[in-house]
Amino acid sequence: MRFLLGYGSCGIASGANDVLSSLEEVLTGTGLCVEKVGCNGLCFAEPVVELITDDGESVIYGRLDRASAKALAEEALKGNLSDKNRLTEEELGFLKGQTRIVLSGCGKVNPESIASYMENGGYTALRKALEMGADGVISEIEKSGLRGRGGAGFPTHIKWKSARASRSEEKYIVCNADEGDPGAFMDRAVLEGDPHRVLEGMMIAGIAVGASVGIIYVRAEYPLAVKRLNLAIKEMRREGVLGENILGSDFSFDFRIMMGAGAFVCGEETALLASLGGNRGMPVTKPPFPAQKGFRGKPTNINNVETFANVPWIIENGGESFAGMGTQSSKGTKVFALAGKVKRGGLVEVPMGLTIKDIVFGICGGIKEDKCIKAVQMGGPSGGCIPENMLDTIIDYENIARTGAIMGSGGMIVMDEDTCMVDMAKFFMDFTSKESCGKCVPCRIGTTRMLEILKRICNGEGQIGDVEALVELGEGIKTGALCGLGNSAPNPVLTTVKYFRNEYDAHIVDKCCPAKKCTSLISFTIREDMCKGCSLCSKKCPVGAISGVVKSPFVIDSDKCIRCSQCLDSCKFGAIEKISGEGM
Amino acid sequence: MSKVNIFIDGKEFLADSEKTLLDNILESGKYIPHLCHNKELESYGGCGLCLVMVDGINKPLRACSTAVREGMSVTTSTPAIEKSRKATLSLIMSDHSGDCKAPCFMACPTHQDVQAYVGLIANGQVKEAVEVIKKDNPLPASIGRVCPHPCEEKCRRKHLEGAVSICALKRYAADSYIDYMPECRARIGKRIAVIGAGPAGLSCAYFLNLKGYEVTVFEAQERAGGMLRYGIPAYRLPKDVLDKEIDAIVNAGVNIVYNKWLGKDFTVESLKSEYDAVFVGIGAWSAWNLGCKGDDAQNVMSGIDLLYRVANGERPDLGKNVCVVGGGNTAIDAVRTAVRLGAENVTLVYRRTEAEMPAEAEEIRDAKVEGVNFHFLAAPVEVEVCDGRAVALKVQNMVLGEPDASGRRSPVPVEGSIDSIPCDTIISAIGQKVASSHIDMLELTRKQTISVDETSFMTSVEGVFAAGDVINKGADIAIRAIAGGKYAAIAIDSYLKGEAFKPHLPLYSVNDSFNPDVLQGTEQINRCEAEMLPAQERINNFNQVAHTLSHDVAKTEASRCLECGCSSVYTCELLPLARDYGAFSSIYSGKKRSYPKDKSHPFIVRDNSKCILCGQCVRACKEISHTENLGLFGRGFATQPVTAFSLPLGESKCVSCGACVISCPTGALSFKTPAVKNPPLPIEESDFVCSLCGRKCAFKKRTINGRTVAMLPEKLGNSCSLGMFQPVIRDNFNPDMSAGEKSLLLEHLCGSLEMYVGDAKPEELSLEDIINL
Amino acid sequence: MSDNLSQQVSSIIAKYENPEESLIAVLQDVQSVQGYISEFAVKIITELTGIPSSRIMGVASFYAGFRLKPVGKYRIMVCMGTACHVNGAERIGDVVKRVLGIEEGDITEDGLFSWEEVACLGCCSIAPAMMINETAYGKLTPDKVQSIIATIREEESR
Repeated sequence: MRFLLGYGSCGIASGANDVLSSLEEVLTGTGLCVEKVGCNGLCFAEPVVELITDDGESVIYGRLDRASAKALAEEALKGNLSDKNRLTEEELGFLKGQTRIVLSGCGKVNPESIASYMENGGYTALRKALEMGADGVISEIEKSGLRGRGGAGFPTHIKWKSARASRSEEKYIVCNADEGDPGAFMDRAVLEGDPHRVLEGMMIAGIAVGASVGIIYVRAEYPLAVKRLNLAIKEMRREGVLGENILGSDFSFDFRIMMGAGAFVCGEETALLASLGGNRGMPVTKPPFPAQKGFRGKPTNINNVETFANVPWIIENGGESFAGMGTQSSKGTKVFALAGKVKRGGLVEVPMGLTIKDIVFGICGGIKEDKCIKAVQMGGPSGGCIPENMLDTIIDYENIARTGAIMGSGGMIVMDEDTCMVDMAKFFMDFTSKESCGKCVPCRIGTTRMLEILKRICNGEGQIGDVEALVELGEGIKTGALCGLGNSAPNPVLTTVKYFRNEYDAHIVDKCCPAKKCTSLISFTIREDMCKGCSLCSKKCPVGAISGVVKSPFVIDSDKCIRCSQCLDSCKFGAIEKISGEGM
Repeated sequence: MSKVNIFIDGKEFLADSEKTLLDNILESGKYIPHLCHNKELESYGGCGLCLVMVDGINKPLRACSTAVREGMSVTTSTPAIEKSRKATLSLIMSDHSGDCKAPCFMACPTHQDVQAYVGLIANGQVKEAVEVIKKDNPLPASIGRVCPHPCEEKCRRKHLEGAVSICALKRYAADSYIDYMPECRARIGKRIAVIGAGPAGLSCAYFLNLKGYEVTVFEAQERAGGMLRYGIPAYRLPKDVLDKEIDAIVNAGVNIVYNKWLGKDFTVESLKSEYDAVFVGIGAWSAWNLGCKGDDAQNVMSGIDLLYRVANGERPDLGKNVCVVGGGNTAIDAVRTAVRLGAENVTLVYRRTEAEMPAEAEEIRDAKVEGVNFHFLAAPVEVEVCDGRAVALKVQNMVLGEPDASGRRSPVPVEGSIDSIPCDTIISAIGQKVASSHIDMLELTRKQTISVDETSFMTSVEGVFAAGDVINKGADIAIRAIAGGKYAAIAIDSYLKGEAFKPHLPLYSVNDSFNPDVLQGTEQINRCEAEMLPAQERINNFNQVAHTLSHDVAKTEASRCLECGCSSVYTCELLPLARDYGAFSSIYSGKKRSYPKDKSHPFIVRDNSKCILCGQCVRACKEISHTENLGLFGRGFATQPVTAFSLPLGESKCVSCGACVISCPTGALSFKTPAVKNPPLPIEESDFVCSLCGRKCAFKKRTINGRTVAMLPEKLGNSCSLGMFQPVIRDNFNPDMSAGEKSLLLEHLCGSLEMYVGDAKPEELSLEDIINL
Repeated sequence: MSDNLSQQVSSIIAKYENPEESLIAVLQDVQSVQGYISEFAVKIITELTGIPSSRIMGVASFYAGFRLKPVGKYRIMVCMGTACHVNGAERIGDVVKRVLGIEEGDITEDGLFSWEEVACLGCCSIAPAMMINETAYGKLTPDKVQSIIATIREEESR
């Protein structure tokens, strides 16, 4: 019997350590142990334990704590598979609807053990690639149709060919693990859950372009990923899959890890290179492309974590099987990180070609509290909001781009009726303006001006013409900005203007926030007929804005109220109302 | 160097493939906007202005970081690119917290370059100061005595000890060279008629005369000067001063004919047929009556009437008790004149309070010192008449009510509260109007003034212009009449040349969100005012009350100027682009970055508020001086170029190579000289070869009136600080510098000594030795 | 204290073959020793490596991960990622600010707490989230935030 505990950052944050100590307590002396595996993507049910019986039957338990973990382990030892905390069939549909290549090892292999990776077929692709040679590898990748998973979807084989064509004794493979989209976490999950897969992919890329050093540029905010990568590299060296003359070939390779220091723009290749060189992460114009002049001025191939994680599978199973999945233009699978107002948030890997609806409703169970879906945000700060009536859009690079959003790295934030689209636009603009490197005028000043306008609108100070100004600025920034960050920064605003213009107008003209989110445009009142006078709200109110006599209706002093919503959350009688616009 | 053929806007050009597309385009003689590119520095791509379309590529490229290749075809301007350039420039302007010109310049109706002439006075260059003044003001000695100086209202020194005494400084300079006249252009054979020799007419005549026109001024009175002569008492403006200024204008070629009345001796129409253009500046010489019962009594007169009689030498007996109604400057002039005519009790009656009085605070103060009583919150309701003579003024007492449309609180009567002020003479000074019945042809406003276009000052009749008190809103201050005359002259010139009328001011960047905190640390120097005659010595004569500033006081006072206007206004690369594209900062207005000026360095002033983050200084500091003394700090909107730990430049490791300043496209970095002030004046540039050592470095020498103000090496970094700054220090040497300042100069002068290969050993020399090298 | 820091910085620099290229790593190490990057530490790095201080400050001020002023013993990082935003991260920030009585980026008088808004912590599935030092807290409510801070305060007062 095996106990597999989801031990990624999210699991730990949800209490995996409590579960771990509780399980270990029960298992002491039984000869069994808890296997710490990566996140299997069932984030909505963390902490998660997968129990695999000796017959190979798998049962997944979720939402565990100390007591429930103890109970299930004790029962299991007795041979009983308890139903308590067991994920329902419906919930398990989350996994069943998926096709896992990138995530195939997440939740299965022990990320802290190279043996575990190898048992699951690890490094056979590397061996094969060494036999195939550079041209063989590149042609396989070309056949697979793999495109960059970082967001832009540039064909991987073209990049590799170009780096291979650059003549230099010294070339580099860089893995962009500076996952910056503030709503995407698939790279973290893969690095934490299956680091060898990424490293193997990088080495195969090394064979293809003729590089002998791989650099992983990983966010410092992912300490667990860094720790596991370091451990993996150490184990690889021990096992002889890293170093000089790997597996008896003339191919030598080594890894280096560099921790990013917090700059979204470093997701942009040239900024990343500047950062690798110890400089401010400011992009430069291309050409020259990194494939010609990259790290230390040498040819450098940069791909994203997910791109590399696809590579071993493609080499092992052949480019054609990969190309057998997906659509005409976009092959294979894509991992999405579902979050927001979705019932079952987590990591979802599906073949390209499904619709957004398939993912949100089919796999993830729809919207929390069965509210109405309003939009799905794809591509984070560089992407856009796709409205409810377009959720039948087929997922591939071109179709998503046609909506005004982008595929991006795969963040999918689901928004319901309580999400204010102007506020969302402001949120992303706040993000990009803070992350703008400051080099080019359109991005540096343009995003600041757009943010100022959006703030004004959300504060109820919007003026007629503001939306037009936003669009004009947005178009200007798209044309004039130096790098991808700036070129795409206006997207969240432009798409919300395109699809949710009515919400902008409500803020500007009626001074009303339809989603009742913008605090300057809402107020709270207590319904006399429903208030029981329990005084709980007045106790919760942090600013003493609520007063009254027990057992008779309370009142809110709107001037004092800071619109923190704590009264609304605390009222057991539904007597507190949030209002916006008329009647305020 | 390999050559390739490229096509720039369809024209073939043999391009150097080692240079960027932008440099090749510029070498081909085609200009495209750019602000962050410098061919001596690595490409940057920051400003985003040099976008071009390259055939076969569907999005615009930055020419500064695009390589040329054989057969490349480039389009440098498309509607989309022009739109993008305008948007980018507007964004730059929206975060450019600089004043191209100082607030005093902007506030002055005739836009005199105050900072320039005040700076020149501070440097002891008084003649040059007068030359600057007379470019925009034909009567500075007179105006320097009477102007209510809107410039001082906007002076930023107000946030410290008080505004600079700009008006007194102008008077000081103008008095020093009262006969000075700028050179007139050769006669161009066109004749202009000017009606009225008041400030508007004289100003228009003066400027037209400078431009080479033949001007005849028709004046109704026996003497010229208009209200300056007949409306302003001699104790404020002695007539000999006015005479001298008018004489200078006449001597320069303006013909004035006297005792000629519009509507009697000629008409607008008659002049229009005889002259190429006509200017009407007849002022507003009719006074409003009190408008109450008894206001026609024989000892009730108007303020301007009294002032006119006194100006003509009369000394009317006003009796013991004089009552003046009104709160403007004419009312004050009337009470003070009444005091001088021997009245014992002079009372000024005004319906609001002192705070609302339109008269200048200084004038009110002077009247009080001279013993005038102020009766506020009282409005005349009746002149009590006995035997045809006024004996008392009945006034209704008032209180201030709600503010009216203009924001002023309107007086409201206090029911039943009426006072009676006994008087021997009542003077009404409640406003003037135009004697419009004499005016023919021209369309009038509802106020019976001549209706003119605000920009061109042209009336409803083509070729007829008007300015001063006679137009639009009516009576106003003298400097506005002078401004009207000046801009009408410019418009007449345009009109006669068939050119479009120009706005009075071109686009300038204005720091409208100035934060006074940045002035902290300014050395305190109190405002110097002109000395005044003691009150007892004033009240029985019409002698001038205020003295002209002494030379030393003027110099000290001028040194208080904060030099708000940009010293790079004539060399700025951003300003002409912003003008070309109409890139107003208001298009995308928002928060501007603002930082205090750094004046710690002996040769360089840093004003990061004007920085457009083109990155040239930082690159120059790295690539040219190899010191990386300047670096970018922060990111995004808040980024700024600073020294390590944001030390003042003078305390940093700056080697004074000047490369950062030379590459700066705006006034964020500028050179300064050791002179007390560095007045921004038009610059001349010439080639110069340094002979201090054998290397013979080539420079572009920048001079103002012959004084070297900056030396720009042909190639960045290809010179020593001695070569760059020695001529500047020599030409702007300030003997009053402290020993500390001198040694700081010396230290920086030798900052890049390794480049200096002459015989002399600078470390053994004094500053004086070095400037005499 | 300062000698000690010099030594620590010097041993950090010794770890790197090319400190200029590894400047970010050097600064990360210095920050882990000091809690932030002080001017003094920058001067030592310049002295030992010749990297101009202006460049070091430029790098340190560019990345959000570097701090140029001291942080509290408990450094509260409120996640401002998209998922957290949608789930009310702003409110969490407001509560932290109110409970601590300090502005973002500041430190409490007793030096115990500092707080800042940070980019996504990658804990989107348990939004809204925050981290205090190394520990992540998820599914936060205003009450939960208050009690987390109160617990720390209580422990510290013992």
